[in-house]
Amino acid sequence: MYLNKVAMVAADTTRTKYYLRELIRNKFFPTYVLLLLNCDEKLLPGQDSSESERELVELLKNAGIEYEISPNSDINSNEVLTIISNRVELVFIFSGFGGVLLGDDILSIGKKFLHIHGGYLPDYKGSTTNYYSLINENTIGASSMFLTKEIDCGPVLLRKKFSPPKNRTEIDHIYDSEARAKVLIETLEYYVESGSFNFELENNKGGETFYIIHPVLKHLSILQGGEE
Amino acid sequence: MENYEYTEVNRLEKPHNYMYTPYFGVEFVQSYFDDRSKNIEKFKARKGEQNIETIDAYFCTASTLKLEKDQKLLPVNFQENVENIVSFNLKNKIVTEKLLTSLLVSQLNNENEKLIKEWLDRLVQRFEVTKKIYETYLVGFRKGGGSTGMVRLYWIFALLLALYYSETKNIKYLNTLLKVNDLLCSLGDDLIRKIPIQGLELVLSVETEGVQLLAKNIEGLSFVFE
Repeated sequence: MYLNKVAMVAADTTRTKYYLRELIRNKFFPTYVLLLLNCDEKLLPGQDSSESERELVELLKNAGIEYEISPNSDINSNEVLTIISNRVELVFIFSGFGGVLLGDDILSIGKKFLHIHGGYLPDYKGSTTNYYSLINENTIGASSMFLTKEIDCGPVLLRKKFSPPKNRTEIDHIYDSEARAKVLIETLEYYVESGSFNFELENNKGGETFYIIHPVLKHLSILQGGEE
Repeated sequence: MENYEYTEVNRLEKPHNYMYTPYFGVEFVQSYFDDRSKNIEKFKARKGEQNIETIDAYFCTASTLKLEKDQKLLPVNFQENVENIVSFNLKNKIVTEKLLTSLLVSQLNNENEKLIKEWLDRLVQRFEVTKKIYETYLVGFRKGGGSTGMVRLYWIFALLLALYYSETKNIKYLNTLLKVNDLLCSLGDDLIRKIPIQGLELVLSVETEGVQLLAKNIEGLSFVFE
């Protein structure tokens, strides 16, 4: 089933792979996918191999989803902005390279960008927040929201907490993506059922903003799970 | 055992972005404690070689007293020269040394808690993004100006974080304190000459105690740290 007026803009990362697999498995097909590919040899944040491009293209082809390779990997470039502006879809599921923020220009083109934040909002805003929530309360979280100019402050569609993963060494590339993919699917289920996006928390103010976790705290967060 | 790479090179010149850092197991945490021990010893060996500013000596003593929950602050006659935190405004250019000093005095006097958090969060955000403390910040507190090599500013910032973490136990501030302390430990003797050694020991001891406190909750693990 094609999602009504919902497209996707996605970088070739492990997270995108999780999103696409779950979207296809649940038969929620975006009407169009714009793939941002990393043309450099060096991996970008969010990538764990350079093989993901081939895998993503195969997934899209096999599912019969219309896709296009972006002329460059920069979501904020004029070329990408033009492509997205010219599409009829109003909502784009967003899965970018790690640490990349959407600039004012792309946020002002009249499209909504559905982002799944890796953390329970508004308590855990910012980066690598699942390591912090594991230390603080032994949970990980994910929240779906529409992006706004203020980071992680957009209205929240759905938020969920999850039990800690068994192997905490795989949070970056597996469990964080898995939690986000679950929230993405549930968000889309509500959208398909009701025909509109409804908010669980419209006023996503307050909370705490965290920054990239220091390796010592990251290790403690992993070791707390008894894994090595 | 893995080397603790985060203090291996001058982090003012080669900042670490800390993104997707690898997992090395329990040995890594021990290598962190070993590295901090080594640096504390290195700093202690230089005691007596310094000629410290009166205000910095006061900050060290007053912060130690505050951390020991002893509210009897020493009388000082320079607080009147420190700008009140309420006078700082995003519409003006900020001289970082003045802001940090004002924040520290407010923290030591238990005043203006809300403003302390607001300004500390802005400083944390700026440091986390750039891994630098600038001499000044332009209107809006986004763009920095002037030198980024004023090591004393990094130490006062670490002291602010140490006091704030100690008060709130919010690991957000322990996280940034670890990064600022990595930077301070990565610097050569010539660069840290103007920072009081007891002040460096203080910020490192708050940090290591914080890490030990978290490590204590992990069953079956113990780390050697002297």
